[in-house]
Amino acid sequence: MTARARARTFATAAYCLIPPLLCLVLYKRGLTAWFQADDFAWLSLRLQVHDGRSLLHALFAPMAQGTIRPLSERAFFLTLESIFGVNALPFRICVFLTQCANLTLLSAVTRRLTGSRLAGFCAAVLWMVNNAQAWPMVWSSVYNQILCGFFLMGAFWFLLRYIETGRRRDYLGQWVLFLLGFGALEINVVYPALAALYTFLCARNFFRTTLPLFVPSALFAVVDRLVAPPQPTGPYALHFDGAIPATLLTYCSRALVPIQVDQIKGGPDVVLACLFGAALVIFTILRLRQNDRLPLFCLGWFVIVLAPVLPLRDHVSTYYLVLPAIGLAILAGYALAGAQHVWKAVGLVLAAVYLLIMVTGDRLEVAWWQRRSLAIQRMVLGVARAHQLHPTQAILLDNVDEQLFSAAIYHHPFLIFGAPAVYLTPGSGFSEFELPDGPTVHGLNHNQVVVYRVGGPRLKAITSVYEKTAAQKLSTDPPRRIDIANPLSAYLLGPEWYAPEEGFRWMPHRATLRIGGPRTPSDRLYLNGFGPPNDLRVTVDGTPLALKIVDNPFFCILDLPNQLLGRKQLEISIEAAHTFRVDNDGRDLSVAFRSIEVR
Amino acid sequence: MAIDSFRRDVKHLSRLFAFIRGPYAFLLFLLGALIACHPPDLSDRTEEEPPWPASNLQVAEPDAAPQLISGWYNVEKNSWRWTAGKFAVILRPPIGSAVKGATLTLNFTVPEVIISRLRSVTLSASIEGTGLAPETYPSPGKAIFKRDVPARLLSGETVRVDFALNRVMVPGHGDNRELGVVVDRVGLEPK
Repeated sequence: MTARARARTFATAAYCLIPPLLCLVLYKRGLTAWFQADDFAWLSLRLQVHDGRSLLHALFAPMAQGTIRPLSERAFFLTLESIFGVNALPFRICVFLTQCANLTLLSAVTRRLTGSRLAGFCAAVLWMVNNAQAWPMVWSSVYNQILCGFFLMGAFWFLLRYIETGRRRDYLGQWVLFLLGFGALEINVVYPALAALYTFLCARNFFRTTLPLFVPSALFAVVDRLVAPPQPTGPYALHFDGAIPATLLTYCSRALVPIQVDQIKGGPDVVLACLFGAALVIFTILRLRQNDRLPLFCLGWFVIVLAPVLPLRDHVSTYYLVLPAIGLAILAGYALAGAQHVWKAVGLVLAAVYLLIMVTGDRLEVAWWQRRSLAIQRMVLGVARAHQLHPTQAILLDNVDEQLFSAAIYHHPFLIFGAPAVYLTPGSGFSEFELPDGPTVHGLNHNQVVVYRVGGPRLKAITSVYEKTAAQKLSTDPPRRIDIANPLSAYLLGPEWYAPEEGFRWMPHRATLRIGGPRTPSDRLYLNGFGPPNDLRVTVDGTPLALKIVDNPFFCILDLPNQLLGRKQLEISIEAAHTFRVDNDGRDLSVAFRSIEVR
Repeated sequence: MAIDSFRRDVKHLSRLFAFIRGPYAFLLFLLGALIACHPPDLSDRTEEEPPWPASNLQVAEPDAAPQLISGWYNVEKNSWRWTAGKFAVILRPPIGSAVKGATLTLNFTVPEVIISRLRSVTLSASIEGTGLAPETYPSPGKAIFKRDVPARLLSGETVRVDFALNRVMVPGHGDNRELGVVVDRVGLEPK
C-alpha cells in the first residue's frame, strides 16, 4: 500500500468512525442506563406470550394510543428480553449500534446530496449532538425514533442511488426499507412526501417514480386511524387549530437550542435560536438565488417529518425532533462546507456555539436520566430479591418519591418478576398504589407483609422499625375500598366467600363483609363485578337496598342512607335471588365481585 | 463519479477492517457471551433485618421455632406440635395493643386418647407472670383458648406467655414423653 493510499484509508476510517466514536463518548452514560417508565410495559409483554397466536397478538395488536410498532418496540423488547432477561446492556448496545449506522447513513446521504465529504461529516456530528437525541440515547422505549431514522435515511439513500444509477434494485431497496419503516414508527408515513419533494425539486425526472409510495402510506394512515382509540382529551388529543404555528415555533426553537438554555434567565435561547435560524434561512435564500433547491428540500424535510406531531398541542416533546432535525443537520453541514470567506468564520463560530450548548445540554439530560434509571434498578431488583426471600408475603415500599413513582411504580415493573403484591406504605401520597391503614396493620400483625425502605444503595428491610414507629399511628378501621381478591383484605370478608381467583371472588347465595363508612353525604356504595343477571338484596348495617343486575360485567352505584354517615365501619350483607352451577364445579355460584367501595 | 468514490471508500474500509476484524470478532463474541451468561445477581440487592418475633405463630412453620422456648415437641405432619405439661412461647405485642390491649388465642386439639385416659384437662396461662383464667376441656376435639390481655402487660417489645396443663399423658412403649395437647396456632390478636 502506498503512503497516499494508506493516508486515504485512514482518512476514510476517520471520516466514518469519528461520528460514532463521538456519539459513544457523548452518550456513554446511556450505555449503562437501566429500564424506566414505558420500558416496563414492553418488558411485561413477554408474560402475555404463550403460543403462536399470543405472539402475533403481542407483536401486532394496537397498544397504548393505538400504536403498532412491531420492530422497534414489540420485537425489540421480546427478543432481547427472551435472550438476556432484564440485563439492559444488550438493549442499549442495540440502540447505539443502530445510531452508529444512522450516523454513517447521514454522512453518506449528505455527501451524495452535496458532493462534499465535509458536509457529510458535519451533518452527522451536528445531528448526533442535537438535544433531541438525549432521550433515545438513554431510554430504550424511544428506540422507535432511532430505528425509524435508519429506515427513513436508508430508503432515501437508495432513492439517491436509484437517481444516480437508474438500477431497479436500488428502487426496490428503497421500497423494502420504506415498508419496514412502518414497523418502527408511524412517522414513516411521511417518507413518500420526502421522496416526492426531493425529486420534484432536484430530480424532476424521477418524480413520478415516487408516487406509488403514497399508496402504502395512505393505507397505513387509514388503518392507524381505525385502530387508534379516539383521544378527545389529554396529551394525545389532536388540535387542528391556531395552536399549530405556535407549536411549530416551539419545535423550531428546541431544534436549535437545548431546553436547558431555555431555563437561563434573560432569554439567551431566543437570541441563539434567532441567530441559528437566520443563518440557515439566509443560506437557503442565497442558494436559491443560484438555483440550488437542496436547502429548500432540507427545510421541507424538517417541516414534513414534524407535521404529524404538530397537532399534539399538549404533548410537545424534544425527542419528536430526532427525525426532523436530520433535515436541519444536512442543511447546516451543507452551509458549513460551502461557506467561504467571512461566512466561513461566521459559520464556524455559530457551529462552535451550537456544539457547546448542545453537548452541555446532552450531558446534563443523559446524566439525569441515567441516574434515575439506576435508582429504579436498585428498587426494582431489590423488590425482586425481597420477593425471592418472602414469596408468600406482600411487600410494602416506604420512602418512594415522585420520580421513582412516575418512572417506575406507576408502570408496574414488579410484575416482570412475578411479584404482584407490592404496595406503598400508607401516606406515601400515591393513594391508588398504597395499602390502606387497616390491611397494613392486619398484615403486619399476621406476618403477611414485609416493609422495605427505598433510597439507599440497597433496598433496606425495616419491618420491625416500621411496626414500632409509623404503624403505631395507623388506624385499624376497615378501608373504604376492598379489592375482593386481595388476600390482605380477606380478614374483612365473611367466611361465605369462595377462594380468590384472578382478580375476583365468587359468592354463594349470601355473603358478608366489613367496609369503612361514608364520610360525606354524597358518598355512595360502588359494586364492581360480573355474573349472569340476578336480583341482589344488599343490606348495609341492617338497612336493605335493592339492586337488579342486568349487565355483565356490572358496575353499580347505590345511595347510602344518611344515618350511616360518620360510621367507621359498615356491615354489608349481599344476598342473591338465585344461584347456578357449572360443569365439574360443585359450588353454588351467584355473582363474582372485583371490588366494593364507599366514596 | 460518486459511485466510483463510494466504491473506493468501501475498498479502503474493508482493508482496514480486514486488519482488525480478527481480534474484534473475538472481543464481540466474548462480550456477547458475557452478557448472555450474566443474569442480574439479586443476592446483594437487599439489606435484611435480623429475624424478629411475630405476634401470631403457626407452630409448624420453621420461622416459629425460635419463639417456642420450652415444652414443645417436634413438628408432626407439617402442621402441628405436641406440647408438654408446661409450655411457653415468646410473642410480639400486636400494633396498638399497648393502648387497647389484645386477645391471647391458642388454637389446639384435645386428642381422643387424652380424654380417654385423663377424662379432662385444664389449661391455664400467664403473661409475664400475671395469671389468666383457666379453662377445663372435658371432651376431645378442636378447641380455642381465648383470653383478654390488658394493655399494661403489652408495653414491651415481646412478652413471655406460659401455659400449663393440670394433667399429662405418657404414651409408654418406649415413648416417655409427657404429652399435653396438640397445638397448631398461638398468637396475640389486636382488639
